[in-house]
Amino acid sequence: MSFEPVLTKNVGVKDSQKLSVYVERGGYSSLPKAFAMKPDELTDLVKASGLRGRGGAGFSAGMKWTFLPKDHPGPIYMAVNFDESEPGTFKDRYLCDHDPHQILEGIIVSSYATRATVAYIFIRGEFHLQAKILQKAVDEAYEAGYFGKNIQGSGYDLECYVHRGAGAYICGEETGMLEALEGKRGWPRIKPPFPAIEGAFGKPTVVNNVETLCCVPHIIHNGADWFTSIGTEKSAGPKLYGISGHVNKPGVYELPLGVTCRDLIEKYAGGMRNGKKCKGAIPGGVSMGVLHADELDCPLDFDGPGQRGCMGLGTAGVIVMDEDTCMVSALRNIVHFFKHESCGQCTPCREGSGWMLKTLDRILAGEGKKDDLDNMIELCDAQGSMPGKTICGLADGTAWAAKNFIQKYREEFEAKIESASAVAV
Amino acid sequence: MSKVTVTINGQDVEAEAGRQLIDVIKENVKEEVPHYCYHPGLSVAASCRLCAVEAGSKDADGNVKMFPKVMMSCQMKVTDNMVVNTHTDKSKQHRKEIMEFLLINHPLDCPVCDQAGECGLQDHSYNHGQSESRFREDKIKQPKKQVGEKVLLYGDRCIMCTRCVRFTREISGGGELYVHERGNGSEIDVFPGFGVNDKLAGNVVDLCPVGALLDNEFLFKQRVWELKSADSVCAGCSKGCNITVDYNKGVIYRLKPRHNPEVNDYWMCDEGRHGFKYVHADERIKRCQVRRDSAMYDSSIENAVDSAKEMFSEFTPETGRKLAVVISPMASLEEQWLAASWARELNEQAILVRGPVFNAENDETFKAGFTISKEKAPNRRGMELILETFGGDQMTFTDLVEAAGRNEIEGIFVQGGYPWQNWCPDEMVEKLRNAKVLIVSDILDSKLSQRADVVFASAVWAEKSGSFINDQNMCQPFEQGIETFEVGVNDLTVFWQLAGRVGPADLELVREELSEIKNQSCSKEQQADTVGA
Repeated sequence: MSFEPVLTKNVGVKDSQKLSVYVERGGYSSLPKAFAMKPDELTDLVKASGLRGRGGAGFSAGMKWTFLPKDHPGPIYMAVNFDESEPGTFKDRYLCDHDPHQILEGIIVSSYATRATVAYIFIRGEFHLQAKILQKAVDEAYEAGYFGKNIQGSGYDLECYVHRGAGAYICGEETGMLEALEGKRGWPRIKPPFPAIEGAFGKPTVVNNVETLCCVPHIIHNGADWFTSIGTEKSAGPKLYGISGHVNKPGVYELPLGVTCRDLIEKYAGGMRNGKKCKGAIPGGVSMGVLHADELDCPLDFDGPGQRGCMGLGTAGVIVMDEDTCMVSALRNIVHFFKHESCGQCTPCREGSGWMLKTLDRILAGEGKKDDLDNMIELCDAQGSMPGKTICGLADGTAWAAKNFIQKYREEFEAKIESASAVAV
Repeated sequence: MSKVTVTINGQDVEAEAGRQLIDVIKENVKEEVPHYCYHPGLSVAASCRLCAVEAGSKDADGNVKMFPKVMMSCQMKVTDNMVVNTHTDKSKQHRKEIMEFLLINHPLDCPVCDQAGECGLQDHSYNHGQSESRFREDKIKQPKKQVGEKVLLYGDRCIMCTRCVRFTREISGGGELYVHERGNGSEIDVFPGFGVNDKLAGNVVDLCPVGALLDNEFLFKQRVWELKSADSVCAGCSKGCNITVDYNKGVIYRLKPRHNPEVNDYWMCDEGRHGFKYVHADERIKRCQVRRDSAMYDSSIENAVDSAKEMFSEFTPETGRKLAVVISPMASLEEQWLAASWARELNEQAILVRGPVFNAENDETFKAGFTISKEKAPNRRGMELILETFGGDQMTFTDLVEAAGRNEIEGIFVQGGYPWQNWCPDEMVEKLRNAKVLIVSDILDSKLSQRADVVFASAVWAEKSGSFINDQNMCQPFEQGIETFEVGVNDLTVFWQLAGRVGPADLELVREELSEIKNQSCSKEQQADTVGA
């Protein structure tokens, strides 16, 4: 079955960032259809489509919208999570680079469905260029009457602001993002209350990922059935896969959910670089863990990686590692990232990530001890000291990556420790 | 507030809906659920992750469903049919692991740490931790820095509970402290050019559960296990913050706030906290003194009382000589009562004088409502109550000075007790000295005491038991901590003996005599609870 790109159909078109080009190619045409429906009908439609969040957690988008309080008198906010900071993930950036108005169209219809009156786009601090592109698009859209009062004569008002982050991974966590949006330090909040009840500035807030919102106009156009016909039963729709690492053609590929990791590498990313063998692949952002070379037939849908010991699909930012990769160094790199990005609020994450980094550094320096691996597993295991013990999921991400790497490549870790001891003697 | 029923460790407990679970547990479970970041006076951070319990709920059929993860009792509010188990294997194991985490970067410098002996890390490690750590790496070293004029930070020891940060943001309102850096590089710091210097600064030291924030004035002065504590009331202003006096061998080392939700909550100001230095000043009047010819001689209290009695014997109503007795707003209610009673027994026309009350320009109110009263006397309302009760001839202190200057008053008894030497300026002293008899009871040596005929060495608030009526009309009793220089001598003893009462001064008896007028005028008699939050 051939698959026509949906979200990336404007990629490669000349001046695709411009409003005129976007409109010419059918852009913003979901608006009249959306405004003809009641917000609740729109929410039901999205629910029926089975659209699951593209930000990493894979939670049903339509369901999330229903958590908002009914008949809320005050403002409801839409907070767009564009703090794409997960290592190996660059899909939202790609969408913004090539088709910023698609994001805005998604924001408008989704805000209408959730009765939001203000949309904040929280964009990662390091995305300087994208912030410019996005701001230009927002300005254009305002001028054309897609934002502001009485959008396209519908009677619906929506303001839109681009808010730039200051460069912290933790601000991709939805409540950390809301804190940062309010001008505070990006420390995740304790839940409950969840953002749908008390989000930005204490008001009910919908938080959605950029790619999730981009799917909504297409669902309005083509219907829920069309959307569910793409992908697998539980993971519907098209998905952007960002592939990087030791492959011949790294990049973003839009494919139906459920493509196997092997197909992604072999068929789309041009196979392994220099004809090397694949040693493993991180399915979607480093916090999800790693797929061993034996597990490459894993379908990259919301359930596949989870059935193979990973935390989940995550952002589908696949990092491929060839046979020459030192998995101890790779894990050290990942743990260093989490140690650096831990906000420092919760004890297990703050202390645990630093502890693990020091242990891995010691192993790499040739001073590993035999029980180091067991100690790390004790910290990271499902019943261990880190996962599920903190306010947000950052500790889980650290733990999952470490657990997966050590368990799936244990011989390599042990060899590193043993060779070191041999040298030391 | 509606009540809910929570099952804690198998026992059904009633609690007000919406209260924090950790508080309800504290009140109902004997075994402790430890915590660091939680403080009942601050917002909930839920970041230390130590107060974990297993929690769930019971449905209508009595089926219990527990959450798979351990839950933080500080962030949960009690709801109906909540089921909580505080000391399960899972929650105990979790606490062990958290304690291990907290200690990996904490120096083991307890022998030189001021907090040792009252340290959350020591106590919780002993009760909830484990004896061995799996950690074999190097610890992180953090700098020491002065974050306020009197607040010192040992960054190494900090466990990032952020109580201090929340305090400056929520209670004092200055927001001087913040968390710098991220992850295990986090440290508490102040913004450049700012320090924790407002009058509530000292509270961050009390709040610190470990030895990270330290009071420069207490630093290396005492090991806390040597200290004894007395429940007292601060005499710095008319707010009447409930405090403990921590002392050893007759020396006060520090004052700390005691929880009283109606007065000072968990806090006190630094004026009070550091304002006790005069107690141990060289200028304290240590012995009673009696004038012989032109010189003053140290004397026993009995001798001084006898001299005073003899001098005042000429002031019976029949002689027509005028006697004035100054009632001090610094004295306890019991002392004021005895002073007034003695005066009127001696001479029912005795003039009762309203002792001067010194005021700052304004009350100082902080963000969360904590107010330092401008009235720098702990018991003005007590003084007024006594004057009102006794009625008769009365005047202000200024009027007394003027009247004495005009030679209209021949006998004066001044009850002082002010923590300043020059509370009665020299020119006033000269006017008062016009009186034939000038007797003074005071704590600090001054021109006034030097010019008196008899001086009684009075006691400061920490050296006696008594009561103050604060600015909310609450009568607050306080206990004696340290001894006076001359054991047992205070205004209560002085007036007891002057009145010719037998035996040692009996505070309880005086309180009984007082109870009727006190009940009528005090909004309530308040005894604070001592809470180690």
